[in-house]
Amino acid sequence: MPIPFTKSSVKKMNGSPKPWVSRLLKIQNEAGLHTRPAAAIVKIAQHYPAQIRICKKNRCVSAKSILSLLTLGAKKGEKITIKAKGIRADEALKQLGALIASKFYE
Amino acid sequence: MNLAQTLSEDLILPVLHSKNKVDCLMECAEVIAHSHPELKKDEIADVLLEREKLGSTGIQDGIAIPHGKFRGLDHTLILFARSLEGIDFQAFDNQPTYLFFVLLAPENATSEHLKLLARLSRLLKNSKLREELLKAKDAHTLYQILCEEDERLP
Repeated sequence: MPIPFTKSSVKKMNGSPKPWVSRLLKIQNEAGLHTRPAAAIVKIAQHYPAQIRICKKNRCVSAKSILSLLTLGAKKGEKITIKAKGIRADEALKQLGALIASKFYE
Repeated sequence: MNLAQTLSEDLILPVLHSKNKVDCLMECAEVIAHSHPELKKDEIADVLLEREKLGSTGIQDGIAIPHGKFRGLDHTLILFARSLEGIDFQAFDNQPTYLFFVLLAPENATSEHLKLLARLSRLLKNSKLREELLKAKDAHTLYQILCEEDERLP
């Protein structure tokens, strides 16, 4: 006898919606999140189809826009949260985390 | 941070004649030197061009923020310059640049620079403001638009 396609069974087949994954990081480079680091973040973030946001003190902006990132004015010692949702979100988080930990190679 | 306090009408260039990056920065340097005779045009241009070598300050949406640190300055200077035809500034989004905010800061002004960038970016995210800046007829109007927007935003 065929299994009926109920709403819940279809949802189970598709999998539950993926949540945001996030990581808390400290800005370590002297000059903070200025134009060059912001561009470096966008260069990586744009590669991923996932939604990626960066937050400082509960203000969140898109990690795919240099102008938006600059509005955070994040300086050395301040903490930011990167959060990602969607395809390869974990990978995006890992790569961006490494960039920030490397002090943006400055 | 109050943008209006740092802006001044004699550091607004409504029509850039230059058609490329180097000429553009030279033209901006000339205006700054004219307004501040204690600063040399060639030294200003050098500082700005050096920074461009690290990566273009053309970011997106037709905006560029050329900048550099300058010994002997005791406060940050901002020049706003506009190209009506657009210049290839090798911007991050590969689009032409029309609006230039040139920042010259004192040597140890990291924190102030970040705050200024944050404030400027916040204003420039508004596409209506960018359109108004492209349409304004003269330096005085440009100055007013920027000051009013700075006052309007909390």
